[in-house]
Amino acid sequence: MKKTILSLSAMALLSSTAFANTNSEIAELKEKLADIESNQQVLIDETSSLKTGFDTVDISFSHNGMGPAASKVYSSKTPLSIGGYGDIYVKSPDKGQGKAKADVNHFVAYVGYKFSDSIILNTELEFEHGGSNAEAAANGGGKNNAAAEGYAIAEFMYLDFLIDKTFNVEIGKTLIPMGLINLRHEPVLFNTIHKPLVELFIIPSTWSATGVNSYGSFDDIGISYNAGITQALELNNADNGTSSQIENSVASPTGKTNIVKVAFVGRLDYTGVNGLLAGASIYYGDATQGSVRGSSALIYDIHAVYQLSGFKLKALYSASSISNAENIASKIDSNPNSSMKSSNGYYVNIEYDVLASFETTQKFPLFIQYDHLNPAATVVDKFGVTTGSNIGETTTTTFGVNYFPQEQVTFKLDYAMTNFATASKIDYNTLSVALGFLF
Amino acid sequence: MRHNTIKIIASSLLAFTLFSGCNGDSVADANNAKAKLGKALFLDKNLSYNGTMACATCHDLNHAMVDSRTASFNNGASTGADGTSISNRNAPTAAYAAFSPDFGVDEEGEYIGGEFLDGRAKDLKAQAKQPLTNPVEMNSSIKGVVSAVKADTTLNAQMKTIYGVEIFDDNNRAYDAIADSIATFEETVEFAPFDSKFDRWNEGSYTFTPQEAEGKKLFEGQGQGRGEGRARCIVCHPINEYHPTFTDYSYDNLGVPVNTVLHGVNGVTAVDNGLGGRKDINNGLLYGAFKVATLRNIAVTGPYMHNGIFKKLKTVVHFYNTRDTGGINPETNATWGAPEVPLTVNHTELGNLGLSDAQEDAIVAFLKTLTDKKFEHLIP
Repeated sequence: MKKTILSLSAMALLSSTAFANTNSEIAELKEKLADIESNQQVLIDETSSLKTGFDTVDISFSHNGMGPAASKVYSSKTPLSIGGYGDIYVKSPDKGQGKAKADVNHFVAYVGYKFSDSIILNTELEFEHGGSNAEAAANGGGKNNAAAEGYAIAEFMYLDFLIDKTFNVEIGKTLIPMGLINLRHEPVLFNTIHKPLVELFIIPSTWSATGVNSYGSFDDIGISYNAGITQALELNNADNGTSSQIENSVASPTGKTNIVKVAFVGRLDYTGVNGLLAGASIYYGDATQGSVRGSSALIYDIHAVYQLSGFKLKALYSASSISNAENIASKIDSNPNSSMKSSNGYYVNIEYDVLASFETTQKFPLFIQYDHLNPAATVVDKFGVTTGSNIGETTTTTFGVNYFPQEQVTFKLDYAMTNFATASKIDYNTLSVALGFLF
Repeated sequence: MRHNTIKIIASSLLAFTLFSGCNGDSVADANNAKAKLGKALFLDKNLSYNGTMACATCHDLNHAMVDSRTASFNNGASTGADGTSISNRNAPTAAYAAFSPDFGVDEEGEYIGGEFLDGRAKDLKAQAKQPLTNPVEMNSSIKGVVSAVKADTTLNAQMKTIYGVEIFDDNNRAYDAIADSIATFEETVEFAPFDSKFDRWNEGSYTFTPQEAEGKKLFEGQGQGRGEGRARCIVCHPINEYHPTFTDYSYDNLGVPVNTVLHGVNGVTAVDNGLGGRKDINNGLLYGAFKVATLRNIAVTGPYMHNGIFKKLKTVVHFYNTRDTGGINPETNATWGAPEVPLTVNHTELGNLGLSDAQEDAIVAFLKTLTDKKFEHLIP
């Protein structure tokens, strides 16, 4: 069929040439021929894609700030889209922090489906720490359980109603559009093996919740936004101490979860300068579910990413403030009752790809990251007495290297030096290696 | 389209505004009111049957929440409200008691937590109920305690304000409220200021003396093995956290001898089997096991051990160091007596630590740094 089209086109061109009497006409015909050849290649590519039913991921593509694999359905040429990512790491801490551990940290499948050009289903099906098993489940395994051996969850599952470049609506369980890691958590998108503490304990990545989120972008001025209503945190359900209270307050990823109270989530990013992303995000709303009343949470971050040649700089500051946290302290399951009232932290990550000046698709970025977290800068007891605290205050300096033999595949090596503000807690170092991929 | 955008954003902002909600002062106020009432009850001698003894008698707020009476110190246990009855166990400090987890079983199947030396009270509230009616302590009754509170105009009003005007209609309910208030008071910062030299060191504002630092090293563990100069106190008194309470709340038989002085004055002859002897536990493997004590304020909360047999902290350290090696009790100049419950004694972690006299002194020096600021003047 394609050969027939090509032959007919060539014949038409030749017959036209017979009547051509100027050089300009010949040049015009050559140009048309080139266009036809180009279009033919496009047809060949698309036909090939239809035959295999699988699109390759475009590593540079991002929809609404998400990573390329999570965004895949939006650029898919077929209704059904399958993508994914995974990572395995081995870490070896010193100074009594336990034995070396291997962890099939994530295996994730993104399954998307285009019901139409304007209604899209996007899902992330995640197996973490090797998945789940009956014994672990019987022992209370789960994402928010310290004894978790692994779990399988729908990290997100939403319908996206594409209305306009400037306004679209996601409904369902979505990623909370905060910080740098939460929306882009595929392992090839950040250079450390373990996520920065700030984006675990203040922005509890990977944080997803049920709600409604609107988003859009104004390309002419380089602005994009998110604004939505989402399931509130449940700080009164966290019984693992004030330093991990936000981390453990995210709605459980499995089972039926409380959504009696909700919160506003918003994000604004500016990309009007080449290589720059700068923005901020906010969560404001209830801090609790259930019977604890009158306590609200404000969590925000400001972030920036700047890339120039082989250099990349990432920086993020985040903080939280819980109003009337004594209400939570009065109900929380700890002895005696206390609750986190504020937290803050930041990190700076600088990387340089030493292969940037070579003509190769491989990358070899060296990096260093400074990550400082004070997850419970102030705590309050049930009597309303607020005290400054450095419980859990941690500084981690990480340096290492990534190797990308191909842009979708990475090998990582890093060395993290963890220092505690509390003198009685023993500082330690961790050597880790990992592989990661997305497709 | 743009109108829809505006609607969504407007809705979001409206919700955003509404979430600021009411303030929660009432919750803290209610807890403070309970604590205030609890303190008054804690100090009220009228809660005893004859008006001579309060909770604070055995848990002196000015003496690290232990019994500061000389007779109690000398005997090793407290004298009751009747002036003649003497308990068979040393009253533990009430300071930092709120941090004990509720009595239960940990992930390894071991008993932990609870209040009292044998954990028989699940929590502070359950604990607060018992001494009031214990014949060898305050010797009152539920009815007697409630009547005393009801008769006090101020306490009566506070009780009704906090727990409702009908609170005195039911003695058991009123008694429960009284215990609730006392327990709430024991959760206040007055019982747990975390301002000792250790805490100041932990936060970077105090530097240990060389002897204290040496004691800390020994406390955490030095040397190669049993009998080679390591204390390893942290096995039961963990330290590696923000506000350590220096106990893992487990139960152990330390091989403590019978306090013959105490038995001489209270007339008890029965073996005290501790946790294992509880009727609801009744486990021979746990005979002689008592709850690991907090070391907060340990330098000023003598006498020591569950039966108050030792009067000086150095003696306790020396006991752990030489119990199994024929050591001499410096308070009696005799060998350590036989364990009251010999079959279940922990010989693995203590009894022969191989510490020198100077090392024992260093550990004591470190332990003194665990004293709350307001009690530092009590350090002997």
